[in-house]
Amino acid sequence: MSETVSPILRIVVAIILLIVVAPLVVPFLMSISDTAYIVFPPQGFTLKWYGEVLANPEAQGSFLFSLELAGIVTAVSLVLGIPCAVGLTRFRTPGQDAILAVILSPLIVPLIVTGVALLQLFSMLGSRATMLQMVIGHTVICLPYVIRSVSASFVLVNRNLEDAAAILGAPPHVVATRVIWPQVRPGILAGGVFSFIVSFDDYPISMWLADGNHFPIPLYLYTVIERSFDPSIAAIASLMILFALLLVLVIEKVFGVSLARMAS
Amino acid sequence: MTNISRRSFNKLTLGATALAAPLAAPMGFVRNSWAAGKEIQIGIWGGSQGEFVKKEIIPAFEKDFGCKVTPEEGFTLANVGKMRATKDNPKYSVMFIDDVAIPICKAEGLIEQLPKDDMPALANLYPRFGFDGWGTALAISVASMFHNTSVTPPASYAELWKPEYAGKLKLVSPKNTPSVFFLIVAAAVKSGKPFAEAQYLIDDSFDKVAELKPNIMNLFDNGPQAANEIAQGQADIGLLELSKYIYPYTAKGAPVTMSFPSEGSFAGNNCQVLVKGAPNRDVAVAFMNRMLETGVQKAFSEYALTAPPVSGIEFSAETLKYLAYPVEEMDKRGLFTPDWEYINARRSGWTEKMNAIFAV
Amino acid sequence: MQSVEKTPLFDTLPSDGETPARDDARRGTGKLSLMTEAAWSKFSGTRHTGLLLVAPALVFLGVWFLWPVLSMIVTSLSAHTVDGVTVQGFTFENYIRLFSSDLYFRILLRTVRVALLTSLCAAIFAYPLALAIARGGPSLARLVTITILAPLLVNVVIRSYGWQTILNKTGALAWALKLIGVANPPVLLYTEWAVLIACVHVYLPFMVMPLASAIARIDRTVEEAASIAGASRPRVFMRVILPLSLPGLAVGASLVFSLSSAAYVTPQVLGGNFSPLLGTLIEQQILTLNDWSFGAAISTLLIAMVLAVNLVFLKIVNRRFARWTEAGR
Repeated sequence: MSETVSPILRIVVAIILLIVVAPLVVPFLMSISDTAYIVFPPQGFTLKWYGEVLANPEAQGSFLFSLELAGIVTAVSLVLGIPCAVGLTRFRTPGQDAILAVILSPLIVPLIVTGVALLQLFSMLGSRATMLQMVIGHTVICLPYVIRSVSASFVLVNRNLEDAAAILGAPPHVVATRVIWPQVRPGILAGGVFSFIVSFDDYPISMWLADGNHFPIPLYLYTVIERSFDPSIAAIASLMILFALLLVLVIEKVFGVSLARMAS
Repeated sequence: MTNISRRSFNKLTLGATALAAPLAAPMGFVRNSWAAGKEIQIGIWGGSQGEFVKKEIIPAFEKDFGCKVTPEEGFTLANVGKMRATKDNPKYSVMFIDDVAIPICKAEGLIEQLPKDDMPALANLYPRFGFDGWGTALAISVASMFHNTSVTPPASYAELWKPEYAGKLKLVSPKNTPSVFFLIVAAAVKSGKPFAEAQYLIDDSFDKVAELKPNIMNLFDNGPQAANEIAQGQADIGLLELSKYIYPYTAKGAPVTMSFPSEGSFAGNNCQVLVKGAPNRDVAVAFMNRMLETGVQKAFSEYALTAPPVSGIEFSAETLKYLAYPVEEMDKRGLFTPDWEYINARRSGWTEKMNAIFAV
Repeated sequence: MQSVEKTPLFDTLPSDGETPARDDARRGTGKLSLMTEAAWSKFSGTRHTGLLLVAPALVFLGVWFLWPVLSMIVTSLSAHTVDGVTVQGFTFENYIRLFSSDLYFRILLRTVRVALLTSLCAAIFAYPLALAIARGGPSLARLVTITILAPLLVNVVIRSYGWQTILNKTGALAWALKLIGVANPPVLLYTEWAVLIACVHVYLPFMVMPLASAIARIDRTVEEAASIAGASRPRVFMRVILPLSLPGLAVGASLVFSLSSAAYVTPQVLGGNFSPLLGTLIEQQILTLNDWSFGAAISTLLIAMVLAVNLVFLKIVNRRFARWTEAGR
């Protein structure tokens, strides 16, 4: 069972990954240009744009706020989503088709419509709690990803292993923690990561619900772009890519698994 | 405060001290205890204008009045949308929008007339920027053609229809206000009439618009990004954008600038309105008054390279290169403000026609 | 295989709590799974438990999503003045307008075309990547996962700018094509192709992740048995991996289709506004023209289209899944 990835597949994968990376390398190259506007290929070399972005309190504030928001949203989505996925896959829940339709519907309604509709609702309710509104708005669009991903992993759980464990006398909670959990953990992780990313990069929902004190990084980026299209934008983008890499590495370190890989 | 555009603008005209002085001086002695502890939310623009409001004007105002002003950066149409969605239970007190949207807000009952007596700074406002009391302009920029400095721009818009420009023009998308200016230009070119008459002939001019299609490289949504592409030489000429988006690049040394064809130019008026049923209305009115005060207007205009709507401000020759001021200069340049009420009622149909030309 | 024949709305989750694994039980791999089923029920109670588990998420979405969005859609049926001010009354005007001009129909067709092509291309690119994740070593899996997720964290405007720089007339692609001897390389920027490329790029992980977890669940001994029996790698892929990964493919395809059909920034920036999708028109109506009710009408059209395509698509996938697994028996 050693190597099942053929050399041809490796080459194909390498080419695809290069294509995926190419447009993301462009911001890196633009961000080191020593010009007051964006040029490609870059002219000169400077790291001053990184200095400016990192020292900017607004950028810091937006970044930290986005982190906080995405973290809370991911937690809420998992708390709501995991039981729901279990209910959908392990139980004969009545009205399952309709339930599924409701749960996955946020994926097919254009986000800009969802955003306006939510703002109208919050206004009608007289709510002034921006943070709460944003958590709710983002959870609405993140929850379907969590439920989908977690459900898929529950569906694919190998029941023969459960049988074996039960036969050997394992009580249900042991089956759950020792047999089912290792099999669904990657799906839960993947759902959490998607949820975090979707929230972190959301513009259309935040555009309607945010205010000056709750201003996530995608909105900040737009105001910077409107200010001037200079290399600091590319620097922000590059930092976001670096952050993405760090995030995934940390998740893997903490949880000790590769995201989509499972032990056999 | 190490912001980019800020830093480069400093080179141009101002230092931090020059900024702070006019803001702090006149209000330092005023006691405004009635406003203490109150809070308002306002919707402002992004860009360098928003930056200046956020970093200079609001902190000084908060200090003088002991109140809290929470700004949210956005853009005109989203700001109208937010007012509409929160109409029954207003969240914002003051909104910054473009003149195009004032008739819409008025018709929907989203805004109210300004209390003249509580706003002494209105005295210096040029009457044309008063909108019958439904708001005031804050900054005026010029909308016109922009081009790469290596090409010679045509003296008349009519020349853009020539085949030599095939694929070399960038046109503003129907999403943005200057798209209406382009329709007026097309009507003026077709009819040979001035803008003031041509604006009523747009319905008959879409064949002229369609004729320009082979010359259009793309329809752009983002002015600064289009300016950047023109500067890089991806296209020669950009059709109609506000000077406040182009001149910051020119000032930084990018090879892009604006030209003013013989047919004339358009006024892009950034305005402020008072939300109907605004929370803490008194603070809102005081803030709107502050926005119009001479010291504030001078610093704001120099920073964003826009012309103030109030009389009696002195600018350096360097700054005056970028703005049409005072009002006589605006008239000299033939700055045209369209009949927004007429246009807004038809814009949906025109957008559909634009889509039918460019999008299928 | 009745259990997979009955399809839930647009997912591959078996509808009445039955799983493909239980078919193994029927075929005699053991009545044991029925025993655990019993154990589970004892441990967890009746079908009410299922409802209880589902309820929080369901109520949450009902209150914070369904209600506001449905009331928004209702506005597409309410009358409004020429300025877009909603007034009392009921009207089909918005829907009549939608179908009276061929503009919206053509853009609907383009939306379907782009979204289908995006799903197809994403699937083609995703299989090698998913195989690498599921079957490769930990470091390869990590590299692939991180790389394909990276575009998602880069704001769409920046990403689009990267593509612009590659696809424009002096860009990297034109340069590379000239290098290999193409005299007049096509300029893809500001065409539908650019929109397609950018959509595949960013939505690829939504295809790869479900595929990878589906492939990872395929018992390797099946593949090995096929190899030992003399099947070539492509044959193993066609006969084992492809059919058994169909549930993952279905999830991925419906995600990618739904997401790309609602895209609106990419068609503007990379398509140069020459090839707008329905999402672009919705944004135009809501943000530029202030006509929320017509925007809601276009949204309704988009939603109906996405639902219909997902349904058709999953019917096909399920039928094939049934056939393949039966043939493999």
